[in-house]
Amino acid sequence: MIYRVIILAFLTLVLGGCQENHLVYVHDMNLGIAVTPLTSGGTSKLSVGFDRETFALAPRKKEAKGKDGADAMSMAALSKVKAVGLDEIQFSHVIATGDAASTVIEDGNKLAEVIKNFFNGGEND
Amino acid sequence: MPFFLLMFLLLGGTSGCTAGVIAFPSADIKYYETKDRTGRAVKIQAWGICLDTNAADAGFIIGGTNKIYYFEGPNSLGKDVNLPDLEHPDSCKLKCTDQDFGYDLATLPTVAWVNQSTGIMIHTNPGRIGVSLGLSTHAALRLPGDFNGILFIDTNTGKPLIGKLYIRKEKNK
Repeated sequence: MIYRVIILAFLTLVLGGCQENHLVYVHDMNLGIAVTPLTSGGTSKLSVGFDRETFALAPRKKEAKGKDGADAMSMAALSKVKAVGLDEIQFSHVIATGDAASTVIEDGNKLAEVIKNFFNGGEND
Repeated sequence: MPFFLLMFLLLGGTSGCTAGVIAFPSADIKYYETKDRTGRAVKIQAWGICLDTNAADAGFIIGGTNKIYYFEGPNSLGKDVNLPDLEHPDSCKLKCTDQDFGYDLATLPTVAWVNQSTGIMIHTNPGRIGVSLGLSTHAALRLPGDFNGILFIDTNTGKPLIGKLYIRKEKNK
């Protein structure tokens, strides 16, 4: 077990910031002192006091041979992130990718109803 | 000091290592699943010395932490990829289950996670490397670039409720 932990810790250190193959949405809040020598954006940071950051990353498709560049992945997303005070974050998302993104967009009314009925910050009605 | 380290590994290691967390003296782990089994969650409440080996949110904490990890359920793979069914709103509510999913959280892909920690935190995960002192609240979702489907999540870091989750995806063509 301990060897696995050491290997994992090493890998995560080595692979720090490698998120380009994933769709990522992050909301982060710190109250106190935070030292980050390497963030996802590749920059270093020192914060004292209150700090809040939100960011999203969408990966690109694999580049096809003989073509310049590549499109971003197909995605339909709707997010509701609401911070209340220092320790409460409502974190609500609907994300559809690939073929499902088209389905969701075509059925816009249902999407609106789902958001209205289900986006209530984890409350079980 | 070696005595405390030994106690930490022996006691904490036996209590929470399958959930990806080694904690001393206390780790409370609960498992959740939706009715339609498209989503699962694991909630970990720990205080003292805590080592989290989940790849998404790995780190070391001296203090207290409250983490929830969200995963795909066994029924998440299928052909009818659509939004959650409005006629059955209970189907995507995460409910506590006695079942230990047998997950190895250290390696299982986590689609989303929220955590709230206080104390000294050392972050060693792909999203963040560094040290924090004080109060930290973190909410994130992370989907593979080839994910082909729908993810629905509704949660809150400040409440004991686990929220709702729905994951439905197709095989990649």
